[in-house]
Amino acid sequence: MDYTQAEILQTVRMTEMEHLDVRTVTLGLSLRDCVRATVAETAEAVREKIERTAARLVPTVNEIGEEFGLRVANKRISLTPISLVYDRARRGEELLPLARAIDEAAGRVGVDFIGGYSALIHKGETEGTRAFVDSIPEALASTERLCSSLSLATTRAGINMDAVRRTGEIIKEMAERTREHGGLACAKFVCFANAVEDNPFVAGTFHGVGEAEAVVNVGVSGPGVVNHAVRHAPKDAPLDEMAELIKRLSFKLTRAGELVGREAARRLGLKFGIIDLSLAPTPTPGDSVGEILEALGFERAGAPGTTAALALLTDAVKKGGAMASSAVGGLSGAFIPVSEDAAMIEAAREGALTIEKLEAMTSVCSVGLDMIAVPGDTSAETIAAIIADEMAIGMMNNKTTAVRIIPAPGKKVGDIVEFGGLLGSAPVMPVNRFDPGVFIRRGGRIPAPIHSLRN
Amino acid sequence: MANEELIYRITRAVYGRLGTQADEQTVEALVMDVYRAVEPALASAADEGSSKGGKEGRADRLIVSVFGSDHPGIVAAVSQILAEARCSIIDINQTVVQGKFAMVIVADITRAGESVAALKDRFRGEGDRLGVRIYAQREDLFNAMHRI
Repeated sequence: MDYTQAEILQTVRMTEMEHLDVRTVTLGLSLRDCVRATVAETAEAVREKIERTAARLVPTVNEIGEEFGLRVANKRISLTPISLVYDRARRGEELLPLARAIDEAAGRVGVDFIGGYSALIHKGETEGTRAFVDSIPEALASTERLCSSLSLATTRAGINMDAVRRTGEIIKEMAERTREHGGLACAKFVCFANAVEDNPFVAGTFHGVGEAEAVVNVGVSGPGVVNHAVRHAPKDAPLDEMAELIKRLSFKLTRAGELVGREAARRLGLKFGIIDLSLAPTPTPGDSVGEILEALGFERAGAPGTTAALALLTDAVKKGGAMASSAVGGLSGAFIPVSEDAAMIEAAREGALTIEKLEAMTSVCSVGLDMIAVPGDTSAETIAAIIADEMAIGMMNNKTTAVRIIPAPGKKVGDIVEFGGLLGSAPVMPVNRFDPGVFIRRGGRIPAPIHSLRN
Repeated sequence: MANEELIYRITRAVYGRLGTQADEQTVEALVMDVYRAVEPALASAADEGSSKGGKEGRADRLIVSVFGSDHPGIVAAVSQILAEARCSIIDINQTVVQGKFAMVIVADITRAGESVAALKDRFRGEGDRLGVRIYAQREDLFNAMHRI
């Protein structure tokens, strides 16, 4: 036999007991040929293209998942930023038929989410993007699967603080428009510094302008596998050995994910894009990045030292993945979405994990302040200031950072907001009560840092 | 995409036969004719390689693993399902340690009369009846995860 029983047992254990799954197979689809003179015509062209190209996506991916015995949790589509596809709107409402057409097409092909209701405004806005940004709250409130993102900063361009301020306002608006669902629309929106063009994860997925016509990107996920191994390692094993252990597992996870992605691309007759090897948690106990951190030696995630542990984890995941595949892309690191991770929820509830600690952690992991619920009376300016901090970390450190924050209407610190499914439930976390209003109202731009001048 | 190495080799062979005096355009036309004639065969061979795998683990083989408490009839029941589905057993490894039954079967599904999903449904049903867990996964997954 070509494989030992231990190897076979390890794979079976990972897929059956430790929640190893492919988090998402995301079809990246260019809409650049769908530009038309009116919104109605554009919506029709977009709807037709999505339904035609993605018709076989869901059944094909399910079939492959069955063959490998590897669950594919989500099937998604990412689109060319819609603000580029239709840049002629002058009022937000004009774009709503387009948003709804995309959502309906996503429903018809059966995907879980569709991303790309996005705009890149890190340096400035056109009249069209201004209307587009205005349309986001209602677009998200009146659709089910649509996800939206804004690029607000890059290391090369600096931070567009006018856009940051406006983002704070639209986040409040989204929360208000989905008041009965805990501000659910905010969970489908994220803003970025150094946004990546091939990220398969929602809410931030979009199909970059440098991408091919249609590609298959894959996000693999295995916090449960890493958690199990770290938990069963000796408590006195030195950290370099723990890094080695995580690296080896990451190699295996990546190889499994890439196999699924390439097979999906082959059967769909499309190009394989990238594998994103982010450790993405789910609310299922055990399948948690917070638990991995705790297993490394903390009473609770968020305790002093957590940032160092997360740095070790993120780096080991990247090293193992980089050796396993030459198509690593997307965000690739570790996600720390509070509401989607059982141990993080608990840590936040107990006060071990604060927004400030999370902010520090985002300087060493792949994303940012993710799925954080704050009190409903948090002002738009305070939210904008939280975003500005996060954008600054991304800009200065040449990395992607993001904010997905939910000012849950009517909720106070200690309340729990339920979102359901993979989005989980978020404990409302306290926010620093001092006012950053004057700073935010200044607007303008924070210039790009000196190390952006690299040519 | 054209296989440049192959075109180069065909060109050399043509010049070898016709001598260096041969008309350049004729040679070029000949080389392209030969290349186009063999290209489909090359493409399908490459496709075969990628979809079925050689050393890379095979897409047309399943690794069936069975775990549970030992009792008579497990091997018979599992192989019965494989036989009915027209899958041949390439390799089989079975042990019992302290009453715990473990078996791994490598099965060829090239001539299988049903889909992997249908086969797995039958395994699930039979597993419940026997009180064991039966998993079936494509062989190339194991290769990807455990071989560099």
